[in-house]
Amino acid sequence: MTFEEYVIARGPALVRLARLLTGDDHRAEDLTQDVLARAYPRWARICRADHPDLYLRRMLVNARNSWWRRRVNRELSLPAVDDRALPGDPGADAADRDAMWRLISALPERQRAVLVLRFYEDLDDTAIATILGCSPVTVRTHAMRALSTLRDRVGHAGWPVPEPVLHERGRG
Amino acid sequence: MSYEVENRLTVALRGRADHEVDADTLLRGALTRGRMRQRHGRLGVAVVAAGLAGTIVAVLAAAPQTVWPGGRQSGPGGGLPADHGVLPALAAAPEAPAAADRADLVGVDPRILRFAVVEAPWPVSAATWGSLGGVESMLLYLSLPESSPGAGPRREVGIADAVAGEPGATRQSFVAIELAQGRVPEVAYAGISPGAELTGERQVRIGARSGTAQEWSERGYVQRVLRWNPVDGLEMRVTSTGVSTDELVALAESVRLDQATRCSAPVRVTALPPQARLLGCQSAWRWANGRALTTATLTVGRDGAAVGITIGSDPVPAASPTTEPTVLPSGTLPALDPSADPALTYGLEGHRVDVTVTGAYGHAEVGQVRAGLRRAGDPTDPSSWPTDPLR
Repeated sequence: MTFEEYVIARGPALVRLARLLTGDDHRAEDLTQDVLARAYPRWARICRADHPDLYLRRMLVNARNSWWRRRVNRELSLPAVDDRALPGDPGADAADRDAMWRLISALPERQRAVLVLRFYEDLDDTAIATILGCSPVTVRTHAMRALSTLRDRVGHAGWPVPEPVLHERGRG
Repeated sequence: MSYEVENRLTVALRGRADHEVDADTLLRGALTRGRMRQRHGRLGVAVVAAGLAGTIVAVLAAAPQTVWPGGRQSGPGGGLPADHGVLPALAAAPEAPAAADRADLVGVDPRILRFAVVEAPWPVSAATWGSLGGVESMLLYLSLPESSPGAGPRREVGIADAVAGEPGATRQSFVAIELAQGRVPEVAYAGISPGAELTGERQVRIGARSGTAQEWSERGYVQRVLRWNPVDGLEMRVTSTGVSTDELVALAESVRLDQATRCSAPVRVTALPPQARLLGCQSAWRWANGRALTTATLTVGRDGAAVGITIGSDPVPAASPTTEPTVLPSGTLPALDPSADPALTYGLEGHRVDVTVTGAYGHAEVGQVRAGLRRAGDPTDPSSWPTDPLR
């Protein structure tokens, strides 16, 4: 497969992965272009590797994690209670997705990456470990902690819990 | 509850990620950047091997009316470059002759770029200024109108591989502008692909001068190249894909040959390996997430060896080391090509520095250069950078 064929066929998937890793569409496209540009001069060798997809994903995750790319000011703003749509409302699904996305965005980078690779890319722990450069045990630990955090932040009614409520719980 | 959270998590991720991607734009950008990296690698080795005064000069167009995003405005009309095509500015070099006055100085001194694009016809979201092996260059990332006759094939690839472009959307394209004495070498930023075929050629007018417009095609992609002599003894070349010849001509006519600007970096290199000198200088600017990010690269070395020093304006996060150098893990799988990665990455007074090595230099020279690096000036303000970063 030539570089051009790969980008046309698989490039969009990399951009979508980058969207989830960065949380920003423009930055995701820039990051993906940059990673592909790094791969271009050594494409022949990358193609000879067993899993070029895994290799490119690893490059993407590492690029995302680099200091240069890291967002200095992380955004976390949970939806205010009054602004939330109620179950059954026409906008409820979209509001739920948005609120859940904000919770995901607030997770530590490695935990978020594990969730994205497991639940969006549908990769097994061994593949995720290869991409992240850690052991499958570490992957499972990250996943467990991330899911635990999400469960804590999702109320009994299924809605994300506003930050003040979480703080009160912590004090309790 | 567990399944509930995991199911909603999956839905949220899909909702956030699953919308269309323009694979053509992605490919064009990746190819242009990839060829630029390839070119830098090849020329870096060639320059080092041949002992030429190879330079990567990066100069932002020097006009007193333009601005450097990130703060300081040096004149009226200062807006965001992404909005109207006005480029940021490096420090002007009014005492230095520009290309129109001294063609024989083009590409000679890595600290001076002798042409400029002060205002592009279209919004610019990223730009790189450089000079290597006697070639001065600018690489612009432009947002052009969506529809343009003759711009070339464009394919929208979405989730279903058939998503039309939105009304009013723009094309994102890289355009490389290069200037050299004699003839611009074939190896270039957006160099013509080895597999491309010449499919069209005609004469065009660029200002008062005549030039040649070529079309090169490969697998349905059309690369357009303009060549002309803006000044006797100099050749300028403008190259891009996905941009029509008329658009290239319009951009070419915005090139200024009467302005010189100074290239530097917000560092001083106080320790050099024996016989090393400044081989190159580069600056890059890009507009992302509502703010400007800049990088500056100095290349120092001698025949057969070079060290590259890159510093960015993006601050190192507070939690990271800011004073003591810390080697970061390699960014890619080392089995494939470790030489492509920075030899050393660390925080220097709050900003990330990458140090790379080429040719005969090794850890000793990298360590020597690193030990002598000092921050000098505000990374977001080129006017504060040292006139000569090696002094």
